[in-house]
Amino acid sequence: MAKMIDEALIKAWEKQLERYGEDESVFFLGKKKFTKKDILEHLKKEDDIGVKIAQMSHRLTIDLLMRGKIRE
Amino acid sequence: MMLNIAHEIDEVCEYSFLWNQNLMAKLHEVPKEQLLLQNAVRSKVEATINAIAPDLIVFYDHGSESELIGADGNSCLDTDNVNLLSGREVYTMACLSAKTLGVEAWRQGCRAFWGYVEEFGFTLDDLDAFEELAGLGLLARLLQGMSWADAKKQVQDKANYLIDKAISEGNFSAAMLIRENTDALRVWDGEVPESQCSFRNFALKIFGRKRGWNILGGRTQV
Repeated sequence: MAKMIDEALIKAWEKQLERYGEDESVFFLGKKKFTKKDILEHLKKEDDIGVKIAQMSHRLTIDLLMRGKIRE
Repeated sequence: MMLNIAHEIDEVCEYSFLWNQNLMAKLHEVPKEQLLLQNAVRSKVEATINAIAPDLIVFYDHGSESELIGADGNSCLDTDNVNLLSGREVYTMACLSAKTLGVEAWRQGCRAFWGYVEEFGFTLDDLDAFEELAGLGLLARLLQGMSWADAKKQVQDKANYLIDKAISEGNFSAAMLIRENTDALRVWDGEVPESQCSFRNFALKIFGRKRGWNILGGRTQV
């Protein structure tokens, strides 16, 4: 099966993990609590949470592109 | 008169409760009644709304598409008692509640419903930004006298600033959630709820916003 989640996104989360570490990297979405390490696992597994995070990341990228904050 | 409802049902709410109380401190001159912690339950919410007839209801906790959840884990406002919101304004950071409850409230005469159509997210490493954005609309409305639509614009502008700041600091997860929250923000007052129903869209086109949303009757059909 083709990979749905871009490898670059997984690498970016690995960098976030290195940068912020586990202690300060807690992430809440609704009632659910994740560490960045959890998110990384979801991205690698490409499960529902992983796909949702990838979609959110994609929307942020589009926003930054549209506001001229990054280049394609 | 404002009615403020907030509790700490779980770890997420410990943060939102603190945000709520910080927000109320900034609004110390606004007359208010508060239902906090174990008092934030359906019977007390209904009785207090009937007793004090608040112009504005603030709710800072969990929600779902059709309800705001009280301190006992059960619904305290939902589509069954949504008539209590008629003639009032509602401001909430509860997840998802603008999706069905907000639309139904608006249809039944709620003057404005400020809420989210997706789950509200935040990160602990940029907590101040999320707290600020969650409360900014209410401050803009009550302290600066803005319309809800202008208050939303202010939140969107501030969100863009905070996204850029988070990105410049290398914190893209915070930026991502700020973007997501802001895109999920709705204020059913200046905006017309979206509809996936072709009959509803036709009615909106022909009869306009309010009549178009009421003309097909029955429960919310989005």
